[in-house]
Amino acid sequence: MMLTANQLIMLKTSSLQSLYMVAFSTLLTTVLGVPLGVLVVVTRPGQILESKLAYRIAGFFINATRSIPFPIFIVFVIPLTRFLVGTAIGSTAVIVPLTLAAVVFMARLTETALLEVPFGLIEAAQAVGASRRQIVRHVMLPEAMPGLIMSVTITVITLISYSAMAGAVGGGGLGDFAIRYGYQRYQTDVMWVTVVMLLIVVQGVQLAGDHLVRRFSRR
Amino acid sequence: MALIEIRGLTKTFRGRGQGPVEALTGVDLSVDEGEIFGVIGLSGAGKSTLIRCINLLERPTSGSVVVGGRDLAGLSRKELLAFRRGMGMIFQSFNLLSSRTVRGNVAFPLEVAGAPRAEVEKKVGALLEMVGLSDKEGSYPAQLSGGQKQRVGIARALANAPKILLCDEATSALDPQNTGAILRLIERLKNQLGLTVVLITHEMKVITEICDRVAVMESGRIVETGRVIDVFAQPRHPSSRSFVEVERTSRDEYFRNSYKPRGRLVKFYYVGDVVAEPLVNALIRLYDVRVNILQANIDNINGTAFGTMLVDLSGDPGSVSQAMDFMRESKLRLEVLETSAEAGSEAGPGTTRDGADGGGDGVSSVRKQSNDNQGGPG
Repeated sequence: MMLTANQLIMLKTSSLQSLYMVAFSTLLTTVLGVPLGVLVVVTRPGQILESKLAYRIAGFFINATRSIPFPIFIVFVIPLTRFLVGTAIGSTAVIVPLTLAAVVFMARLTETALLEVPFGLIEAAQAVGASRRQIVRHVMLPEAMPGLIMSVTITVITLISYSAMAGAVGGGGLGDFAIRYGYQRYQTDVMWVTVVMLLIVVQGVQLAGDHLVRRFSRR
Repeated sequence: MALIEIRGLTKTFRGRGQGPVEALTGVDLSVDEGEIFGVIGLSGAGKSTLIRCINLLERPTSGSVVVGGRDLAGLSRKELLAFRRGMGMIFQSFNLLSSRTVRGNVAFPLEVAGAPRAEVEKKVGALLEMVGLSDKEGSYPAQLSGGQKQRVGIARALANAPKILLCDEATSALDPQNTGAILRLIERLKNQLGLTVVLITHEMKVITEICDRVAVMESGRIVETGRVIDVFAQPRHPSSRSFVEVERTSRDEYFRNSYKPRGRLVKFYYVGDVVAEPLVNALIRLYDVRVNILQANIDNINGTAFGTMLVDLSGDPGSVSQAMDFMRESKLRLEVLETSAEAGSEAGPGTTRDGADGGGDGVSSVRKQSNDNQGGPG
């Protein structure tokens, strides 16, 4: 099972495209998803920034986004993608739907991780005069760190999986390569190589995540 | 003016399902500077809500909380944060940050207050020494025992040099040895730093060990307040009595149910210096009575002795009455638990007990009962 020189070049390009899409959307997802998760938690009833309105709106936005299947979502957000990136086609354009879909996913995972922090710790911080910002920064996020790292790990893996659908709008990437060459051109060995590569990458991400979780667990 | 003044405090929670829940109903309380004030109650009595109203972790529904002359209701958000720094709090479940070391936990309030790094370092060292944990500064909470965790909690609570320390069931998760050690630490620090301490607990032992005054809570109300020794020696409210007498009553129960007195089954209560008097000896020499001591005990209530003695007092009914008067004159409180048929009182055993239980005023009702009993032939 040997790939031709041409296939190897394609494989390299696709891998870099995948890496580009996943890396950028992971970064953006974390930067946007964690705060959204924090918002959902702190505006909950009984929490430090209780607000029924904000809680409901955020919850609705998250649920609405999550209920759209990703291939449809890519197409659905094309106007927004054009507005933000200037084009709806290509690897960069795919980062928009990838990020949006993953942000709400990340927000839900963040919410779960933050709710694991006992409320007593927040009370203790309030009792020494910590502000809400300080409570989030110095209590909730550090205490939830193992859970947050786990959330990022899961999100990265989901993004790798989602990015396979980037071919729909010319985003390229490993998934697209596997479909076009491995499936549509009957090049089974291409399929095999990409599957094995994805397997190794996902395993690697999971192992790295687990390792970090252990490093940050003090409970 | 007391350091903490609580007037007409009410807190209503929006209940889940079955309507609003009144956690506090019209609570009045004042805590003087420099005292250790205990609030005792069963779980659900509202004591946890009460202590949280003192630093506004809970917002009162109505009523006022005035600390050091300032009404907390009037504080802006920013003022409230500054105000809370003047008050430390420790918790039943310690509530230490698991992601920070012992040092990091104690440093937390100082960092929050924006203290410069060098000052934080210095203060944390001193605080850890004060609670005896200097050797554990690099450990994480998960590596500590319960007693050690609470010491960290205390060091953290005192980091910003507060004047008031709030203890929310601080020893309820600890074993008896650690409970004792933590209570002594709190008492020592209170004296050393001039703290005022408010603590809540469901254990009478905690109250008798370090508190000066106590308030007894039941279903959102304070039913009795007073010096610990007074409440302990002579609880007026049934709820207080149940806290004080859990142990004592079970002992009495045996004698009441299984023991047949030859004369009168009498219980003596005595407080303070009377303990040193050889009263039983005097009783036997002065009166023609037989004294059978069934049970005797002396408790140390925060430095004051409090004794109880259960005796079977038999002999000529007249002498027994005189003997009992003698004990009363010697500043003992008497309670007649049971009278034998031969001693010839018309008052049944049950009546005496009911009288003592139902009365709002412990002394007079007990006295009245004993007097009634003396009404027999004699």
